[in-house]
Amino acid sequence: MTSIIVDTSVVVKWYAQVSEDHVYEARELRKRIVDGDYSLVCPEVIILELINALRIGKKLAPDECIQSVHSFIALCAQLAPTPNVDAIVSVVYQHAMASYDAVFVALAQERNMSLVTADYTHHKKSVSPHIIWLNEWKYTD
Amino acid sequence: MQTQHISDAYPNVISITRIRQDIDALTSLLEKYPEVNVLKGQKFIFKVVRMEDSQELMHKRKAAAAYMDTIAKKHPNKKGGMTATDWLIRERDRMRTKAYYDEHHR
Repeated sequence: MTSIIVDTSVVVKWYAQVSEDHVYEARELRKRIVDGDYSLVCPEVIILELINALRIGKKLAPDECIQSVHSFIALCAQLAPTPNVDAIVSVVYQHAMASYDAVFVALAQERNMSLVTADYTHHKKSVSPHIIWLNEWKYTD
Repeated sequence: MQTQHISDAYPNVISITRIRQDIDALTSLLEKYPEVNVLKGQKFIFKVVRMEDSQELMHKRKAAAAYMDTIAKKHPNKKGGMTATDWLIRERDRMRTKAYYDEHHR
């Protein structure tokens, strides 16, 4: 089983209708996680960003937000603690990235894992070879 | 300073080397704990769960995905409205700026 890191920009698509861009790919990725083909690892900070996105971006009621976050946690094999600080700072300064976004990249680098993202603005492929854009993602064994 | 092996502090941890030497060490841990974390050097490389727990986990994951789909149906995007992904990217943009910090840390 391959371990994979998924950015919040992909996770919020799991709560979106298929008419939205790249939701089909996001659901296919989720299916692979549900079936156990991939083991999902995310940094702990994803929970905070997800709550904001579901509350303000998706406008969910509190009980729906709680259950939605729990449903995400159920898919995670591991919520990883903050990676090495030196690695985060290095990404932040080199790529003028907010520390929250850099945590995903630093974790991918630390664990030598792929980071699938739909944030094509901040997670440019030049930032790290571990970054895979959702619109280009394909399942491989 | 006294050092302590990680498996002393976390009893459901085992090294990959130990498993290679004695697979029964893993099965006896699985009799005591629902999951066992496997270490290679100082890094956790995977988690082993009992078969029955594995099936329960898959059931939980299926239920979680079904709930996500329910939310998607219940809260469709307004036509021409901003998606949650767009909102997230915009917020990340804002958080890079000094203006954001001036606004939130006055």
